[in-house]
Amino acid sequence: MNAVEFSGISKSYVVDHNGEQQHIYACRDVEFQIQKNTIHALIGENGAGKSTLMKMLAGVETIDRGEIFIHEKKYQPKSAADAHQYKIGIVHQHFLLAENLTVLDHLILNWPKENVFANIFKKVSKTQIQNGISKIEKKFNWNFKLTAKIKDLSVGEQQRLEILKALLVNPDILIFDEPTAVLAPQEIADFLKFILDLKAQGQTIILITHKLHEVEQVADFVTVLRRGQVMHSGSMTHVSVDQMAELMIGQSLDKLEVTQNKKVYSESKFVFSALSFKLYNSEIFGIAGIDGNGQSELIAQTIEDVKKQKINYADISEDRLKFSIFSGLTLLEHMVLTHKSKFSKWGFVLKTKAQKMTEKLLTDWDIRPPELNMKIENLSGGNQQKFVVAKEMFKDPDFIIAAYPTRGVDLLAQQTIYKSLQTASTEKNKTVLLISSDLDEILQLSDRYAIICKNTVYGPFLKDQLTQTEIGRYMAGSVHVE
Amino acid sequence: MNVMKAINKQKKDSFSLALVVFIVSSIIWSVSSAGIKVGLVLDKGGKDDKSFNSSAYEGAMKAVKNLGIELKYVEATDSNSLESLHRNFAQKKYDLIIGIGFAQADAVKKVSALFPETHFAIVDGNVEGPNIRTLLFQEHEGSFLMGAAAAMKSKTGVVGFIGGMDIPLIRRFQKGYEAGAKHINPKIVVLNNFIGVTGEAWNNPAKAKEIALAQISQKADVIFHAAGASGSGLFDAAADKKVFAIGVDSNQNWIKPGTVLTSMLKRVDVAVYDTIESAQNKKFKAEKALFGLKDQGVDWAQDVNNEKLWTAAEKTKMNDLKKSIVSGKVTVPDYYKTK
Amino acid sequence: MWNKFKNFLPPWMGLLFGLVLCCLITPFFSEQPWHVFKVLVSSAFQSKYDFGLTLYYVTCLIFTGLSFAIPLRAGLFHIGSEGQLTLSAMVAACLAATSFFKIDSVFMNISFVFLITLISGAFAALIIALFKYFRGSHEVVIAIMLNFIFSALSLWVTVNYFQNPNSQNPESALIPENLQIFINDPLKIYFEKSPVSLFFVFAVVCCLILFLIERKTTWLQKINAYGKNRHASRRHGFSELQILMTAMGLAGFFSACAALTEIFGNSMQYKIGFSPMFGFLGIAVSLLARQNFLGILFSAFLMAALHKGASDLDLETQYLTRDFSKVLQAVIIFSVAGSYYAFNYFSKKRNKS
Repeated sequence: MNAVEFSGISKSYVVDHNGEQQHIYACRDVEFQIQKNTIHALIGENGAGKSTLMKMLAGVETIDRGEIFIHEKKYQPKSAADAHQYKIGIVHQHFLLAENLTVLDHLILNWPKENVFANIFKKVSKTQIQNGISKIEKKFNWNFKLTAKIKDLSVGEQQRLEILKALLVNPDILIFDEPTAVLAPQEIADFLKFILDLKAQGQTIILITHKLHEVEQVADFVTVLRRGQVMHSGSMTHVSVDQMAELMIGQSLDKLEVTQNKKVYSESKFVFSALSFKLYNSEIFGIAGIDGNGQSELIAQTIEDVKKQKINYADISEDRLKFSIFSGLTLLEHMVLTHKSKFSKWGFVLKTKAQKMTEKLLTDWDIRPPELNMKIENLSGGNQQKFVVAKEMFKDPDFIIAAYPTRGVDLLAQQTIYKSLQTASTEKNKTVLLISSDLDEILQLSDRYAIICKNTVYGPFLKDQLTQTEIGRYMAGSVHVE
Repeated sequence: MNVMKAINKQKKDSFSLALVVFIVSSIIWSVSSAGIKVGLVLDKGGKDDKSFNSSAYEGAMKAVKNLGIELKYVEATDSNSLESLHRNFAQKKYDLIIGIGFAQADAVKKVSALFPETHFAIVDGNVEGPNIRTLLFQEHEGSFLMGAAAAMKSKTGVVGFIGGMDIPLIRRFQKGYEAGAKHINPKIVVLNNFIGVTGEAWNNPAKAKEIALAQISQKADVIFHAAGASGSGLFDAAADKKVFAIGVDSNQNWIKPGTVLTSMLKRVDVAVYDTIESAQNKKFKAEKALFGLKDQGVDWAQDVNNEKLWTAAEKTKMNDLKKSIVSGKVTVPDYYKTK
Repeated sequence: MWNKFKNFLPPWMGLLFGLVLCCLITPFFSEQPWHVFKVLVSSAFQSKYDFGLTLYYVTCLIFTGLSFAIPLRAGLFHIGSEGQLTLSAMVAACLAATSFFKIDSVFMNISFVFLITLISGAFAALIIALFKYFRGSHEVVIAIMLNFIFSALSLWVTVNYFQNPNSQNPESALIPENLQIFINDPLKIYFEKSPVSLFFVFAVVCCLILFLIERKTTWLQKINAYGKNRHASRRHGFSELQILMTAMGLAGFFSACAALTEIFGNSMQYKIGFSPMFGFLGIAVSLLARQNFLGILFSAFLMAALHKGASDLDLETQYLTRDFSKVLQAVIIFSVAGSYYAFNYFSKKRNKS
């Protein structure tokens, strides 16, 4: 029996291109079924239309054309409330949390309602909430501090709260949009175990991701999307990881070459008060650690130092929406804003130069759609991140601070970003400070690394100095250094 | 649906009624055909301020009834529009345009020079011109009488004065009032307060009440106001604390019978009516017209509402005083002249 | 062509709709709809003098509209324009009336008065920026407070020290005749000595210049970016203080321009309460134009014509009072503002089908 059936779904956005309006398709004639009580992976590059499809299912986006059936009944969501009624839960990639509320307030607001008036007349009590969530907490080994404010939680904790919220309604169908993008390695393992548990209890799970090895571990079925169209849909037994990657990207992936052995190291002239040791020129220095262990303070401190020393630096920030992009401005405006000295003279914008350079940048980095005058918020998450990295690297920086550079980014984009960081360090002898919670990323890219836990930086360690378990112990904070 | 029908029906009825009235009245007008066109420019306070502007409006309405003139009145939206209103009336060939209040002095001065054929009149403003009639009141005479009344009725020997906006016009009221009180009782104490320095002062009853209560706590037992619509605050306070109040401009005795001792009448309606009548009879004179006790342009109000408050002896004393002011036996100091 | 044209269509459709709606209401008040329509549309252009008065309103509304639009680019909801224009009007009138600068050259004298006036306007607005930056206070609260303070301050100074001895109105003395340089300017003569003056030309030029600056230069870009995303703009290393000060300084500058329009272009003295809330009407002007600098020209004109038309309704009709004409004014503004939404909604529907 099908839990969900998509039939001929299309959705397009109108983009103003030099005064002419063009339709850009996010989804085009999407057609596939999701069987009940399975884990169904939905994979695709960023901008392939996965998130849009799920937003339609959740009633957040409207459908232009086509139909959705849920349990073989026609489903026409008008708002998120409809999705609740059909017992569809969704954990969004970008959290829909009110920053200034406490966890408790937030749970009270989102507590499942028996009817429309229940929440107005009857406030849910604290004990009721504690009882309600304790079962889930135990199962997943979570521990929420109810009095903490949302803005004080780490990204990982915020995501857990989002998952908790989705679980509260007892959903039949549970959608995870890029759930592991922000989690630490141990957490990822736990999470995968957790969704298998959920499946055992009879739930249908839709997993949107582009970490293919995760798909391989847990999914029963897989649907691959590329540029809004279904490339493949079927059982996992028929496809390999490599095939999936090829379907997703439309070409086979090059293996990333590891080149750090050729590097010539020399001590860099930069001094950072957050780090007790010196960095080298032409090295990528990684900082590993679970989210919320003082990374944001370290980044803020380092940026302050960099500014004081007047270093030409590139800043790939930890939170793209908050720190890196100005929604409402176009791509071209972003470029002119960041590279004022290059694209303006006496305050006058050198428009042709800016247009030409930006156009080239967009094609070089394969940012889609390559529309100069498109507002940045209309790009997909991965393309936004690529644009941010491209824009920052265009500075030809001496120092690069890359915080979570590949968070929520597809494989191809990830490759591009990695390559650009490596080129900067090997060919141009620049220093890269890489901060990430993705341990694989750190170990793959960096020459040396340190581990941050509870606001303390342990290290530096050479590439093969520690075993995985030792690293895990540092990250968990169970090693004490004299 | 029914309601709509009913409204439609009513509308139809009222429309046909209006049509009949229009035809009839136009016939009457065309028969009499003597009515001149009069434009009345009221100040920001508007025709319902129960004081100055409404008094002018009543005078003009009386002229509509008795003389059959054609009246159009407007209220100013902002001080820049005053000039354009006068100008519009003049352009539409109105015969007489009356501006109410000293704020319109500039506008009348400018526009009257551009339209020498049109008659202009202004109340309280002092503008000279070959086609302007200035209507001025001897406020100091009336308020002298009020001062005397207050001193006669005061048991504590303390009386109060509440002025609206602190301008020479109101200072003139105040000076006359003080002199009148001292005329009856040389040792009397007069408390003086003003509400403000802007146009808002004419419409701030809360502040007037506050001031009245403060004066009462200083033993004042008769209080006179010259503060337009703010005066209602004084009447409230006086009624609460069982002291006397004195009204101004129009007859305000009815507002709180038994509390309002009397009112100083400033007959803006009479002045407006007289001006319209003179223009109607082609006797309009460009001059400075003074209205005082002599011609009852200012006076004190006596009616059923306050007659129990006055003994016959007191009434005689008041009327004697009035006569001696008119005859010049008693001189009243004028703030405009002694300044 | 259609696409370019389409963006300008909604407000005009809204205007027409609003006018028709007004006319539909008026029969309930026993008025002739056609007559009311004629008055509303034509009163601004009746005579040269009337048109001049309308242009005077346009001038002030352009300035206050700009004074709102620029801070809004930095995300500041600036409602302090009224206070700033009151203060700077007082400063201008008092400096000029007392011939504060004892310089023989009229040009130098006027320049100094203008300079000090513009500085005082900008300074009054900067107070808001400084409070916002150093104390984190909300700009609306500070602006409201300052509006009260400046109104009281100007009143006190004018009435106590510079009161016109020949008048009972609370107003400053007239500025000396040699400083009344705009009393016979070409615009004033053409429009039969109405309140309009050359400041109107200056206002239009300001709009054009700002429009070009925004399109062709980077000067307003940081302000714009700060308004879109405060955190990112800090992270990019843009100076927050500089951005706030520039935005508010310009706002105060334009408020002061509105004050100069009144003092030197119209009444030649400071009359307490001369402004029929120009500062607040400017908010509507700016929002109607969606903060577009060229759009402000048109929306200011619309507002001014309405203001003029509404005040003439009282004179031209039998039953519509001054207060009711405000209601009609509001109906028109609402329908113009709502037209964007309605138009978007319909064009979306059309695209789908």
